[in-house]
Amino acid sequence: MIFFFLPQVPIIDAQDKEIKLPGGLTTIEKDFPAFEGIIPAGSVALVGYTVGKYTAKAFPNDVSLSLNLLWVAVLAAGDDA
Amino acid sequence: MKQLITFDHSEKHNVLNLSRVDPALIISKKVGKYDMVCIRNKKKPVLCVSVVAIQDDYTATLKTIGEENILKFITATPLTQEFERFAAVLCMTHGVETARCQLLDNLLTFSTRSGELLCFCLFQFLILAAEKISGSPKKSSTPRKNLFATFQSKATTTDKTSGYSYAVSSLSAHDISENFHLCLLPTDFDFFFSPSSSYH
Repeated sequence: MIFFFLPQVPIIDAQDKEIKLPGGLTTIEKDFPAFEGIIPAGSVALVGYTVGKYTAKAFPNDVSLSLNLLWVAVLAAGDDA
Repeated sequence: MKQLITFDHSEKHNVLNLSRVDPALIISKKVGKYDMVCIRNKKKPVLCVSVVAIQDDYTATLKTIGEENILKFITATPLTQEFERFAAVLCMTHGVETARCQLLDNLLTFSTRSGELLCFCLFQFLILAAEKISGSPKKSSTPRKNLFATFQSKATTTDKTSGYSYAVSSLSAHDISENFHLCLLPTDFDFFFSPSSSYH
């Protein structure tokens, strides 16, 4: 139930079609079909993300970075697909 | 594939590859509440892209971190030599010699931002409100700690019970050990990475 309240992460199947650079990276969610199922371990993928800086409570003197996942484009699926 | 790996940046489309971009082009600046990596003359956070080898996919399932944060995430191995540049660029961008990120062995964690979980908080609030109306005890309502216990991952599991430090010698066998200092603190599921060789 909780799952449906969380933001969706688009998983895209880019195995059969080339991603046009650089413009295709910003429209990748519309241009490619969704990848069915869980991404198999060992798959090669292009990850889209933003990088944020925050201060962790436990380490106030350090710079902590978060890699905020936006989408995943599977380029080649692993064997157990 | 080669084009994706060697892609560096596009100012027009506000997208870059941290392993290839010229670090002088990017800065960390406040966007809304958060400090985000941006291309210098852009107002929005830059879209970063990296080619990686996927290890775990928790985008269709859930994982609890600690007691409160519930995230969707993937863990993935960056390509050899790409991570070194990635780390160096991020450290230069933030003007530090060391920074922290979610990294275990050779697995980076890319996750949804916990700040996006307002809907989840609302959901929790509704549960509590429903309990209050129905008179059911709070104790049995939200077993968040155990709800997702089966979705544990080495990359993000905190182990507060252990009092020892993990010793991690390298990110990918031989390459990183000469360039990076890595040490895991068991109370926080991330590592230091430091492009020490860049400053020597």
